[in-house]
Amino acid sequence: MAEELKLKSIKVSKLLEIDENQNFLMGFEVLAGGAGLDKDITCPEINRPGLTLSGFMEHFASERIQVLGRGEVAYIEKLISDNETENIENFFKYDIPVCIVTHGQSIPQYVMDFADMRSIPVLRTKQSTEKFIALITTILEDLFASYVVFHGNFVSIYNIGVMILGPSGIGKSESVLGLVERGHKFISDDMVRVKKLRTPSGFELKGEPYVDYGPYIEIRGIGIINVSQYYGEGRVLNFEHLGLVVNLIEWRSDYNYDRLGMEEKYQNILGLDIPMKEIPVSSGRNVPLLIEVAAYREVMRRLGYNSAEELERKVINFMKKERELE
Amino acid sequence: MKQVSVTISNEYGLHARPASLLANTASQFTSEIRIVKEGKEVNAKSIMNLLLLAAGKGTVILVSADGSDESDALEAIRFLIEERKFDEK
Repeated sequence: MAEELKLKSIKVSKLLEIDENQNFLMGFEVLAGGAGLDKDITCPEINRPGLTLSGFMEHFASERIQVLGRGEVAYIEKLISDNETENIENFFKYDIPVCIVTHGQSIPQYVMDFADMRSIPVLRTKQSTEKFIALITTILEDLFASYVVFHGNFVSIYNIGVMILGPSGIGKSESVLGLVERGHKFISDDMVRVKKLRTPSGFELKGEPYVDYGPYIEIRGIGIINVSQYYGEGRVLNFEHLGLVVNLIEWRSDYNYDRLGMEEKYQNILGLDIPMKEIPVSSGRNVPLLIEVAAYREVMRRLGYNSAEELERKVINFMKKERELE
Repeated sequence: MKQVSVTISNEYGLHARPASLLANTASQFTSEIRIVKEGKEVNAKSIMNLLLLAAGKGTVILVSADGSDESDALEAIRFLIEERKFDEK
């Protein structure tokens, strides 16, 4: 099993990159301290430095992203106009990774000069403080989430994230191509990052490309194919919640495959049990079709249906009736 | 070809789980294995075939095997049905 990993830090510039990928939802602008864009953010939390600016330095979480909302900016302006800039100077003595000003506010030149001098980047977002905090918290939790990397493929079938695992050459990529052709969505070929994310009801796993060069897939005998060019942008997704693991295995006549589907098998990933199906591969078996049915079966399972149990009830009832007739 | 008569003796008869056990047991042999109940004849390696029999408790079935490992196959199936009772009551 792959080992559990976690990012220790991200560069401040990563935030700008993410903003660009999200169509400038934050609309980040660098106001000052541009020389510090390669500083590390090591902590997935934010801090509002009201107490620090008012002179109370104890427990100042200086390693966090500092958010300057309307209150903080108004207070800074007041401190400057009252000529009481000591707290601002003290604030900038800390090794702060980045300050982010919300509501598209401007900040006094005095503060910008300090930021430049200390190479502490100051970014501005057009978002309101509460919206910004909600957005950045989600982004940081995602970036700093625990993850494992699998050698396998990831597709979305009926909104269920399906990770396809199996030895090299068993036909994982070919299966993915078959699934995309059947209308399902490509997420990653060959390497998958599975992240553990917090949700209101606990945790869930999310699968995404390990490195996002784009939707490329390698098919033996054909070469590399760009899935969105060949099948359309609509057949590609950036991520999906992991709902099913499919292990493709070589067909063996002496192996007892699950023939009923009455008992669920699970694979434990990052402490969560994910439904798992072992699908034996042999010539004449349409593997994309089988994976699609396995995913549909997972949809039905969530709705409480199980064909094997249904048949079982009918057979037992039938046998009972026969006995009563005798 | 060899044959043996066995009596289903577990409470719920040849329902899905026992059928799966029986089909898996039969599949481990290369012999062709058939089961007959009251004139209905089915392939012992197929779960869906076995369920068609609807063989309840007390039913006598005739198991026949044809092939190089026919004796072993019949003994394994007899043992599963009569002695292990499909690991059920």
